[in-house]
Amino acid sequence: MKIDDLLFHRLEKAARLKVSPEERSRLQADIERILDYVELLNEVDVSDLEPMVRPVDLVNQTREDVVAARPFPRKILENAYEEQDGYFVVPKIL
Amino acid sequence: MEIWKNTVESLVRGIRDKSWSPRDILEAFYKHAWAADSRILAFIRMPKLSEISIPDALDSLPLPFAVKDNIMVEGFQTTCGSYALWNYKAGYDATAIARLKASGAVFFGKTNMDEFAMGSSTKYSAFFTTKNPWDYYRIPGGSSGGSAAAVAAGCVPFALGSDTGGSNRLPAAHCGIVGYKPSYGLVSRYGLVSLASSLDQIGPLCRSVRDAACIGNILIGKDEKDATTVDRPMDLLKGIENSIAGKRCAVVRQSVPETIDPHVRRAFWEAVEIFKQNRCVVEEIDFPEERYAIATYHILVPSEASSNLARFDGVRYGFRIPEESLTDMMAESRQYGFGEEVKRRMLLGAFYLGEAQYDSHYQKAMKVRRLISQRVHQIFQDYDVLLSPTSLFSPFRITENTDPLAFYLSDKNTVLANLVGLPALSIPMGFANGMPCGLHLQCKPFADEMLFNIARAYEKSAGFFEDDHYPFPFQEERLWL
Repeated sequence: MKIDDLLFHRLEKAARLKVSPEERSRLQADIERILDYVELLNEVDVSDLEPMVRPVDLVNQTREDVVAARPFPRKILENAYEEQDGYFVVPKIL
Repeated sequence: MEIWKNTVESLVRGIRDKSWSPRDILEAFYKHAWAADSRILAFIRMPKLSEISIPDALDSLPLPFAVKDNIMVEGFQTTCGSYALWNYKAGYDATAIARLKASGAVFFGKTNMDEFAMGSSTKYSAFFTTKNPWDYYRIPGGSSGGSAAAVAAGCVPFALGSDTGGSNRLPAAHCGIVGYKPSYGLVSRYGLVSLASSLDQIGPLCRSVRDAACIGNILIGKDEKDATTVDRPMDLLKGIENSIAGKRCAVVRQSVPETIDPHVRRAFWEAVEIFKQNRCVVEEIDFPEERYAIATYHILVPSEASSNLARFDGVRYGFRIPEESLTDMMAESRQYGFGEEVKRRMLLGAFYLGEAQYDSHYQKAMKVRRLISQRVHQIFQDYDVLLSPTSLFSPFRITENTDPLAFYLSDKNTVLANLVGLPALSIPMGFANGMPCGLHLQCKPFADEMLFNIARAYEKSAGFFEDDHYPFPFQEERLWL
């Protein structure tokens, strides 16, 4: 399958990436080859099959609605690039 | 015999007999690991000896262990082999780690891996490539390559890895050790950095089947922090020494194709002979749908991964490139934080999940997964275990094979277990081309006890590891040069 520049640009945006030009040609070629390979699945008739999401069947499990003591906030903020008054700082959005 | 050459079981026995203390063990491994690691580059980070607490001899497992760098250990970096997380420090223990620590085991170091577990060589690690302890010019396999190399080289008695498509079993085969992928749902994934949530499982890498059962017993159990875990108590050591006479083994013809390395083929059929000597029934069967496994896997993994890895955007943690706008900051941080293989899969995932391709690719792959699963369950109505070589080839040289698609195909025999949620083991089956090769065993979901019984019977008959006689890849004098 051919990945043209427009489609590649759309994928790049969807994946939140900014790929450099030399990487771009390599990735484009690889992706085309991988997509050609997975075309293999076209020969399977899947009309009466249900999609399989995970290997085990699960039922929803609920747990008691109680506050669990997790000593997290401080530790989580330690990993922040920039932090202020217990908030993460990001570039201006508005 | 040097302490570091012992298996988990004999180390624990030695502590009970007072042959050595936990401190002796820790120091012996530490000293050996520093020397060996300078050759094989298995560890991303090892704490100082003074930072490791001495295990208590009264605990059930007072031994050091290494951890693949995508599993959280409180207070230590968890990089996933990526620059995107180069400075990330875990704030909590994964459930698997917490269970090991509760048994008295002490954390000994974080091991190298392919970036975000995407790969089968550790060549895609952002930092360095780990070397196979049997031949420094060859890959150790991956993605848990660092953990496998560390165990094979005797740096640690056992290590944890994660298995999404063979990431525990392939490096185990290439390094000549035992790699275990539990049935999906047996071991909690809490604290494991997700690659593809419906396929990931944490499992141990050990030197012997009994060791893997012993560590498996500690890891298995329902965890309320991971809703996909099931309540299926089992004891992998119970019945592990039973006779396997009468067990029905199947060899899928497609898993031993024409293209297989002839030396691996010979080793494999020799292994099959051992099953026959143990009075097992061995039959060759056809499984035509097997040829769709890799394609299905490589649609599902990028799709799940592209959504799982969306969180690495530089906002709350990890690598950030400061930019004027938020979207530029995220895109730039991801561009420079991720390696090429990760980007390739992110783009592919975005493609498969896009509106135009969702039905024709992602949805279709989930349906083919159902088809494969139905067929595998049919096979297990007639057979107890599937036998195949873990890898069709001996490990590549580090300099050869840069083609991503060729790497994808090296998982040919291992992805099935993840797609269907089967328990699987790779155990040493001798040597081919001077390198270890692995025998791959798969049983039906939650038949892990039987899997260990069969694997142990083979290991005993093959005689590689009896009396703790374990072949080590190098001579010490070479190490101390």
